[in-house]
Amino acid sequence: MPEVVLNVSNISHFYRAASGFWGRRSVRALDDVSLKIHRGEIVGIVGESGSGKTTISKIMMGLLTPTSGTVELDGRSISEQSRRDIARRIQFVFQDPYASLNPRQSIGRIISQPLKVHGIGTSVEQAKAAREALDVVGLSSRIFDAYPNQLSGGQRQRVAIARALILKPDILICDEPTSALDVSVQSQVLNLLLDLRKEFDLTYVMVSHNLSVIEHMASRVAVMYLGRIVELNVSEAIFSAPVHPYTKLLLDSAMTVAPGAGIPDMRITEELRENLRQHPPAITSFTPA
Amino acid sequence: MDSMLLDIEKLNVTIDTAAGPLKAVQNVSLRVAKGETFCIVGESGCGKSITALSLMGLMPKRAKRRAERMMFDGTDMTTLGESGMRRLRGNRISMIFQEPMTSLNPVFTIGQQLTDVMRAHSRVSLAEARERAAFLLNKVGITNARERLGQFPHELSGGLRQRVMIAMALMCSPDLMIADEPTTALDVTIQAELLRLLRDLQQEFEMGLVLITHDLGIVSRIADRIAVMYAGQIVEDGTADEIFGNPLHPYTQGLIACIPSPDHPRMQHLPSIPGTVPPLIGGLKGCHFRERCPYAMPSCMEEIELKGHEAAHRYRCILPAQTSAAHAKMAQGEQVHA
Ligand SMILES: Nc1ncnc2c1ncn2[C@@H]1O[C@H](COP(=O)(O)OP(=O)(O)OP(=O)(O)O)[C@@H](O)[C@H]1O
Ligand code: SF4
Ligand SMILES: [Mg+2]
Repeated sequence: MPEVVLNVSNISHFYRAASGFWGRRSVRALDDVSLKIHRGEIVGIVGESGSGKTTISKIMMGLLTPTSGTVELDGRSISEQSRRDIARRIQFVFQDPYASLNPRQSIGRIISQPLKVHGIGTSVEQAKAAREALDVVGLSSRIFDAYPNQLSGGQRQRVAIARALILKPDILICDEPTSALDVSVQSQVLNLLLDLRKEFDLTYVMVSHNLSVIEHMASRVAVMYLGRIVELNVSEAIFSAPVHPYTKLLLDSAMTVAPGAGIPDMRITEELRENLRQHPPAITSFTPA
Repeated sequence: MDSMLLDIEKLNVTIDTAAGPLKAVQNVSLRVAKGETFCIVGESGCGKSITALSLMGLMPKRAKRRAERMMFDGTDMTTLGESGMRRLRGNRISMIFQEPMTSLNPVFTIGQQLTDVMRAHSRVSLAEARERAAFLLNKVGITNARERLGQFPHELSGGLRQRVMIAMALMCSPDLMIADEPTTALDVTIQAELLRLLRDLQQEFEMGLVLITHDLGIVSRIADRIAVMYAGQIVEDGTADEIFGNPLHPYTQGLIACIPSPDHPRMQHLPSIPGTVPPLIGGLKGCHFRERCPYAMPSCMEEIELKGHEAAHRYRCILPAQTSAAHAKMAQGEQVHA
């Protein structure tokens, strides 16, 4: 059985809301979330905005300290590991290839930045590694001196992936990696992620609200609703035999290509909401293939 | 053709840029009937938004518009001038943009904004306008409509703001609604709810709807007619059945094939269209799709016209329809059996 590389247990997280009209309130973003990620898996996380997808990814990367619960990387709590050590194992790719790259830095600098931060290699070696990384993500090294605003969305996302790979991490957390891209470019980036995984033995956590993307990419899927994982299972099971009513609702409302099928009839009543909240989670733990 | 609500013939928009003239829209012709849903699809930067904006006389700075015909419900829009167009826009044609936060004014309440758009164009009392605002908020599925009128945009969630935008666009009972990516930023469940709503309202008021989106899933489900845009041109148009059932342009075929779906083997390469939309500066020669087309040949360097029957199906490609249809079948076969 493949080893557990990332072990998230009983994470709860509260955000302190800014004080407003009603006084200081805190918002519960995560409620007792547990998830084991095994080497080589692609775990998809789906759910509506505000369901806690981004919060849990930040906690997994050690960017955010949860209110309670633990995250272990290779069996050791990440709270005991330095940011630098974590960064060499876990990297991330964000949704917006426009916002996540510094517009004033050249592509070469952006990609080699993590090497500089970690003091790895001479500047000549860093530049060489950045050129190699460009090649790995299918970009011409001619763009080495270009700036982000000279690139298309798909190219920028490739740059973000190159930067994430330069420290040779083994886990990549991708938060909506293709949702700002056109379908034609989306499939280029997804194909690249699949190739890189084989080549470098990567483990992925992919957050997305696009169910078709998750269905295509993920080996297991966690469905989040109101800060909890309400369903967890292998991808085939989630998509062919969903158990939790929220998973069913998500699948029913997805607008897949279906000529003439019309728009799914989503009447989200109070009764349905109550049912979604009350229904017990359907968690099936990992079983090796 | 006189029953057409919108009848545009050979619309061209050129933007002056530092690098030279940019032909954002080239010879775009489209017709939308009452009660019809007309979808414009295509990749980012293909000219969808500029087409929509220039239809309404809202061009970016340094943009020039030229058209052989621009008729709205029997009125020639080219003769209308700025004030005439403004009257048309608030009154009979409405538009919804993608980003609700930028289209709502943060310093005014929802109620003020809704009533203002109506009172700018018709002589109604404030009470009547408030009445209609509450009625429409209710229609778009907002509960406690009357209380909402007193709230500010930042007090509402993204989904609610987008509903307010739809209500605002309906204040003057428009005959034509132009919606540019109205639900892209929203969750799938809310997206489905809002599109259904738009659709119901459209049927109830017999409104023509021009929907711009790059989401082919949505388009396949609600379009009556579709225009596929590529690099400033319409490369294929026709009924939804034709475009999805028998796509003839290699670009349309490519777009449809790229969508992840259970037809593709999981965790394997998806079909993709290599490359990106070419820059439109300076103008392109021959078929605009040439550099990305798997079937390109020397004769694709010539200027290519739309061919076929306007009412049913047209496409802009040198290949005969039978050949294209065979390609489409082959592509489908590959997906299923790969
Ligand atoms: N204000 C402007 N000045 C100069 N060029 C512009 C301006 N607005 C748009 N363009 C260019 O015009 C072309 C068409 O742009 P448009 O916004 O219509 O594309 P679109 O199909 O709506 O794309 P998206 O799917 O990203 O919304 C692009 O090449 C774009 O870069
Ligand atoms: S005209 Fe030629 S290049 Fe253009 S789409 Fe047809 S085959 Fe491809
Ligand atoms: Mg646009």
